[in-house]
Amino acid sequence: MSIAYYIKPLLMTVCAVSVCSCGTSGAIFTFDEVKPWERGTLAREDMQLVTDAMDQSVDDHIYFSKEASRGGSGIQGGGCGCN
Amino acid sequence: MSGLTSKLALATLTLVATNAQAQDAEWDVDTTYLSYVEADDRVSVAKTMANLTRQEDGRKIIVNLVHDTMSGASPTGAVRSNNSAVTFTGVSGGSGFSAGNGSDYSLSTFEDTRIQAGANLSQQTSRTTTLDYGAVVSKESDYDSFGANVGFTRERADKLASLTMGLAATFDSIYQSDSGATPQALGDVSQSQSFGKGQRNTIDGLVGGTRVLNKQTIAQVNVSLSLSEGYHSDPYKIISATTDNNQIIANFHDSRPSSRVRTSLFGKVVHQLGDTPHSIHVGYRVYNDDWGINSHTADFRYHRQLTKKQYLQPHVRVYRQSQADFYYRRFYVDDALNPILPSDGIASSDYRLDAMTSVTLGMKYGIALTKNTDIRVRAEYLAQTFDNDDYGGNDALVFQTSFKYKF
Repeated sequence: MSIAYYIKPLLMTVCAVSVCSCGTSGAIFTFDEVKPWERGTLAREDMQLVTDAMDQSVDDHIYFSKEASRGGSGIQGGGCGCN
Repeated sequence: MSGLTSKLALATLTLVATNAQAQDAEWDVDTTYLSYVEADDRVSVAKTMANLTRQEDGRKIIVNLVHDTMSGASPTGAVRSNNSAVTFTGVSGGSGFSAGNGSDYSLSTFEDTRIQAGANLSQQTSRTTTLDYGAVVSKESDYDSFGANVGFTRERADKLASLTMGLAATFDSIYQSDSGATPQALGDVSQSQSFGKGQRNTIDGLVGGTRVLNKQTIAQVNVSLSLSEGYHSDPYKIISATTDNNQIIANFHDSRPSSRVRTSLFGKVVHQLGDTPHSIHVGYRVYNDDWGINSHTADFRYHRQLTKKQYLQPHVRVYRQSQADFYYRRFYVDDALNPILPSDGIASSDYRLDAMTSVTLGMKYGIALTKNTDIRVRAEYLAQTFDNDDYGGNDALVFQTSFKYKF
């Protein structure tokens, strides 16, 4: 593996951390400051980032076994002989 | 006075009862059964999975159990031909080849069972921080795996944003089910040497964030990095060396690099549509690795609330990947019929390393039967097309039923 290859993931990580940090501090982007009593919609089950953990687990397994890519939505757990 | 006293007593009792209730652990069990069936009697999988979750003040424990049964026939990568100049011995793709027409070894039949058990603990360490620990073990006839993970999440004080970091380590053993060994990389199938079990170690890292954008929208961004080293070949895959008129001269075992670096950038937005009970989930992932695979994945779900207790959820997913640098549909031969092998000794004809497009269309229906019980059913159709593989494509149907009960 060449060192150059690590530059891309490093840049992506720096990018994501910057975005997350800005999001956390609110330094660059301007977002609505949603008050606690205004979060009824966001608390709905269908408004969660993962609405069904079983579906996500099943989908991860299917696509991991049928495609060459994996990862992204979370940390993977457990290997499988399917790929 | 006595009225006031009794009211105070009632209020005190209510407070005590409320506190006692708050400390009670909440349990739920979520189970799912999935049937995955590919066209042309290729792969069939039946998956049963159960998650048992216990939640109490600041702590959540999930125990996960999975049972898979897999059977059918999978493409080995060998060229489909009944015009072979070689005879295969001593190679198995699970239980053997479906050599129905003499010397077509392009499919291997198999039958296997996989069991997985895992546990995850989330512990809130302060009002805004949470630690996660987990471990998972799985076993099948030709693959053993053990993994452990740790994660840290910090929320902003107003809970409108969060930052997550996670790390996972996975240790796998790979071997052929009948011999318990792995074949020589790029070895001639007819005179192959065997080696011991293949070992592979993987480290996955993730940094991600979520942000509430407004009263109706939340967004997520993740960056993942995965490093693995060790045995990456597939002990059942075969590459054929053929003449121009498709006569097989020799067959060789799969031979992949001994390491892999994967990176991905993933984003997702969940948005409520207007002032309705409906919402959309849009996800996008960009992935690349040092095997030459670059891919894009778009995922869209529309949550349509039919009644207060029922919903429909159409799903579309589109995936496109490039082929691996060492993907060969076949090797060619020179004038003396000697196979022309790659100089670096790295090659695979696994169709999953070919350039491909996958499209998934699905529909899900969910209903809350009671306050504590819900059922979800889902059907999905997966269509894969490959740029080089001569199997043309892979069509699969997925049916899934899930049942959740809180107690």
